[in-house]
Amino acid sequence: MVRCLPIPHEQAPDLHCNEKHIMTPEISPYAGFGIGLRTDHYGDFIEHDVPVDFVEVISENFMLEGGRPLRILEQIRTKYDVILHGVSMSVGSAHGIDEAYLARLKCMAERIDPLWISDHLCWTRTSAHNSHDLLPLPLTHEALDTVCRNIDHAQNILGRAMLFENPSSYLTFPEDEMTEWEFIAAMARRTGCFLLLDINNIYVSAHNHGYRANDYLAGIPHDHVRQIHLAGHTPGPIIIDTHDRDVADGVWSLYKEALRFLGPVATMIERDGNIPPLAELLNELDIARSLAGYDALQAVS
Amino acid sequence: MISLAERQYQFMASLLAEDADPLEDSSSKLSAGLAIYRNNYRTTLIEALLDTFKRTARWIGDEVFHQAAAHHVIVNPPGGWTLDDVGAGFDRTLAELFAKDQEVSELAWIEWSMHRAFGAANAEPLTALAFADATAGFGEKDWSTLGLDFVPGIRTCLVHHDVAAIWHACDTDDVSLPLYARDEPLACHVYRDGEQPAFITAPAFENPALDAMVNGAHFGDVLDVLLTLRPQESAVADAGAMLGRWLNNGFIIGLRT
Ligand SMILES: [Fe+2]
Repeated sequence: MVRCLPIPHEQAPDLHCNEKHIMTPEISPYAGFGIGLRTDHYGDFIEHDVPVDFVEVISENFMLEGGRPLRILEQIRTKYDVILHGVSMSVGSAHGIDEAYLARLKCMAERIDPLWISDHLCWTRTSAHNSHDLLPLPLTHEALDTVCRNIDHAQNILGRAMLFENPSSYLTFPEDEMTEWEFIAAMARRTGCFLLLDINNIYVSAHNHGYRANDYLAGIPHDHVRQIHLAGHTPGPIIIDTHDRDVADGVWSLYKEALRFLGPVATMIERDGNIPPLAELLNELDIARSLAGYDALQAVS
Repeated sequence: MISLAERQYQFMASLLAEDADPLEDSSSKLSAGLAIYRNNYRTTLIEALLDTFKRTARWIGDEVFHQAAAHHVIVNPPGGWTLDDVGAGFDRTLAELFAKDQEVSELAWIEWSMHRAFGAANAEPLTALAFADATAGFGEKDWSTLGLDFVPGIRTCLVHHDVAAIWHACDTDDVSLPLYARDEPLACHVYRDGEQPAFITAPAFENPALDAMVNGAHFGDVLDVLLTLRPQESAVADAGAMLGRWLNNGFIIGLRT
């Protein structure tokens, strides 16, 4: 059984875990610029006013009963908008979604009041085992049906639309029946979910599977995209999506191209390894701002 | 066409396999990709273990730890959604692998218990003063039927080595032995002090006593056990001193009468 814990301090958002209360928060069409929050930078975010519009956290790192991580997140929540980005929902699993996981995520969302909740278009588990990795799906009609059924269920339980991120991948399956962008377009249309577009993932997969990244950008439903991830990768015959270095030049170019299709979209830098001082990530975020014509955006708003 | 469930079952079996399937065509793109996922899977789990068991790794050395961790994830592939659970049972794996060096599994048990305590529910410990107030009017029967609520995440075990010395030796990188073995075992309690997981050693009789009371036994039951181990006066005095230590360490959060 999942227990929702009381919010321990006065400034936290006034929310309660109530199974009968259905939340229908709007997904903001434009949420600005942000950073993936990592432990090395907790102090920066708590002690200073970091120039970001939001932070994104890995949901599972905070799905605990209590202790320091939750206290820190609630402290950060009083100063910044927060996005809950999950890695364990496994909407591609033929065996469905772990109900205990969903219940716990729902409690977490009611406690934190995030801008939105996201996860990945992938699978991580079978009924018996969990890979703790974002594994690729065969692009078949059966997989599409499974993903849509699981997303419908998750969105119903959570009482809100979610965002799903396009994966990076290192293989394709002989049984594939459509392109990834066709799969994603159908998924968004059928479930009403929104998209978190990882530009680096498009770059990585386009290289690894030999398609044109621009075809991908042209093929996704642009009006469903609510967030962009920018990250670094490790080059090679098969590019590995390592998130442990600066955003590559080719990814910046693709970001610029994506913005031509999409217009203003919430954008963040996602770093998971070799975490540098926060200032370095903020510099990268400034590059994104300038490519997005941030000054012009400000003037319009 | 292969079904999604069958494809996922095969893919997972390939990740979990100790070695790549020799029948796979290693030159195919599918196999090359699969090799990356297999490597990612193993690396993620071993790094998670390394993160939780830093001192154990320092004690036995990185290379040996890596082998033990690889063995553990092959024998105990994870099933749950949280990566935190990957360390479950690692102390038992190490107890088998290091049967003659029991301090290794003792150290791992402490690190695993501290890891669990780190994310346990919050609770406010009872002060010694509040405890004294609540028990001021107690008669013999009240003491006998007294139950205690403990801070979430508290655990106890018996250790046969000076684990505190080993812990500090790991901190200073000085892991060149003395043996740290003890003639008499000690109780080792793991709990969270505020936000900080901690452990403390205590006389051995505290291990069954704390274990029993965490699981709902009455103080009278614990006293009965102590009376079988020690002379009556010292058993009563020991039980009182033990309660005092538990209070001072912030173990107790409530009374059940
Ligand atoms: Fe991403």
